Amino acid sequence: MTDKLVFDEMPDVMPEEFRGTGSLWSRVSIYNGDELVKGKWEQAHSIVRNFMYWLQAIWTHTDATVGGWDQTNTLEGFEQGNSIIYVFRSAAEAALDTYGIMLGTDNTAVTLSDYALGVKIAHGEGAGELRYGDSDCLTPFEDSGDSYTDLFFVRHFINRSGGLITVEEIGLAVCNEDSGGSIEYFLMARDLKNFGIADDATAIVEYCLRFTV
Amino acid sequence: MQIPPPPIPIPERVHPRGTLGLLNRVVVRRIDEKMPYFDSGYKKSHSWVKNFPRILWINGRLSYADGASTSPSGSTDALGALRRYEGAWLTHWNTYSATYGPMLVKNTVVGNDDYGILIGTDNTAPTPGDYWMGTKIVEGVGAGQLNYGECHIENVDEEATTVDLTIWRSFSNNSGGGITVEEIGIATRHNYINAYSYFLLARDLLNFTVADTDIATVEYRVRIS
Repeated sequence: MTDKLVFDEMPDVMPEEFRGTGSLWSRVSIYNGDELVKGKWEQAHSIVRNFMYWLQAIWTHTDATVGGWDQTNTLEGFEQGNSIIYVFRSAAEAALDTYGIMLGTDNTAVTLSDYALGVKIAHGEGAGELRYGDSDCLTPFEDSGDSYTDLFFVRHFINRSGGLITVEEIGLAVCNEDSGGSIEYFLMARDLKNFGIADDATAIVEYCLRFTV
Repeated sequence: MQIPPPPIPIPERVHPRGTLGLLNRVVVRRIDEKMPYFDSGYKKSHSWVKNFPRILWINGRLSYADGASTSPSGSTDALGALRRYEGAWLTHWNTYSATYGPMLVKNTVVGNDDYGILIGTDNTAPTPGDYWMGTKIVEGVGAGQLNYGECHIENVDEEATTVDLTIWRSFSNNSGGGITVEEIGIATRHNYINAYSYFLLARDLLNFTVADTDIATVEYRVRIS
C-alpha cells in the first residue's frame, strides 16, 4: 500500500485504496510579495486520537464523561458550555495561536496520542514568531461527479520577525467550551513538514479532508 | 438478545495510514445460540456520505456569536430536504444529553428505526449524495420487517497503531420468513428544540439473509491509524 502520496492538485479520481475513507492532505504555498509559489498536496498521517474521543462523545451525548487531551495534556471532557458555543470549532480569529491551523518547529515523529505541537511558533513579530491570520473552515466542496466531498481548512502566516523561520510541523486544533466557561483546546491532527518562511513572506497552509466513496 | 459480535482478528492495515476509515461486519446467529453461523468478517466500507463532512464543517464554523449571520445551509435529512442548522441548536448538545443534541447515533430505544445503524433492501451503489437508505427495513414483525435492538457504541479502543470506535446493533427476525438484506448504514439524529431530523452519515452494500427467528448483528468500526 502506498505510504505517502503527493499531488500537484487534488485529483478528481482518487487511488482505489482511498475509497471509503476520509483522508487528510496538506499543502503549503509561499507568497513572497512578488510571486506565489504553490505547494503540492501531500498525504497527511496525522489524525490523532482526540478526534475519535470527540466522535464518541458527540455520537453518544455522554457529556463530560468522554474527553480528550488538551494542549497541556490534561484530560478534559467534551462538554458543552452554557453561553458561548464552541464545539469542535476550528475557525480561529487572527492572532489566536491556540487553535485552528498552527505551526511549530519540532520534528518529533507523529503519534496517535499527540496532544499538542512539539514546539509551537507563537503569534507575534519577535524573533522566531509569526503573525497568525484567520483560520477558516470552508464550505464543503462537493464533486459534480458525486465521488467525493472536500472539507478545506486554511490559514496564512506572515513573517515580520526580521529573519528566516523554518517550520517543521503543522497541526489542526479545535476549541470547546466546558460548562464552567473554560475554553479548552484539542489537537486533532499533526504532521511533519519542512519549509522556510523568509522575512516579510507569507505562508498559506491548507488542510483538505477528503471523503471518497 | 443483545450480544456483541464475537471478537475476530481485524486486519491491521485496511486503509492508508492517516485516514479516517470505516469497516463493517455482519454476523447472523440462531436465537438460542451465542456463536454465529455466518460471519462476513471485517470489510472495508465505501460509504461516508457528504452529510458527515458537512456536519464537521458546521461544527468547525459555528459559534454562538456568529450563528445567526453565518448559519450554513445544513445537511440533507431523511426526507431529502436541506435542513438548516442554526447556531442555537448547539446549545442543546450534551447540556440536555438524554433528549437534545446533534449527531446522536447511540440509540437506546428498542424498536426505533429512525437512527443508529439501519438496514435495508436496496442495492443501488452508494454515492456521496445519498441522504437515506434506499429501502429501509422497518421495525416490526410483519412480512419483510425486523425488530431493531438498541444501537450500542463502545468506548474508544486504543492499540499501538490504531484507534477504533465501534458501534453495533442487533436485528431479530420475527416476520415468519427469511429476509435478505442488501444495504446497511449509519444515521444520526439531530434535535433543534424538540424537532428531530435524521441524517445519513454512511451507507454500504452488503448481502446476507436473516432466516425467520434468527438474529443479525451489524458492526461498524471507525478507525484511524
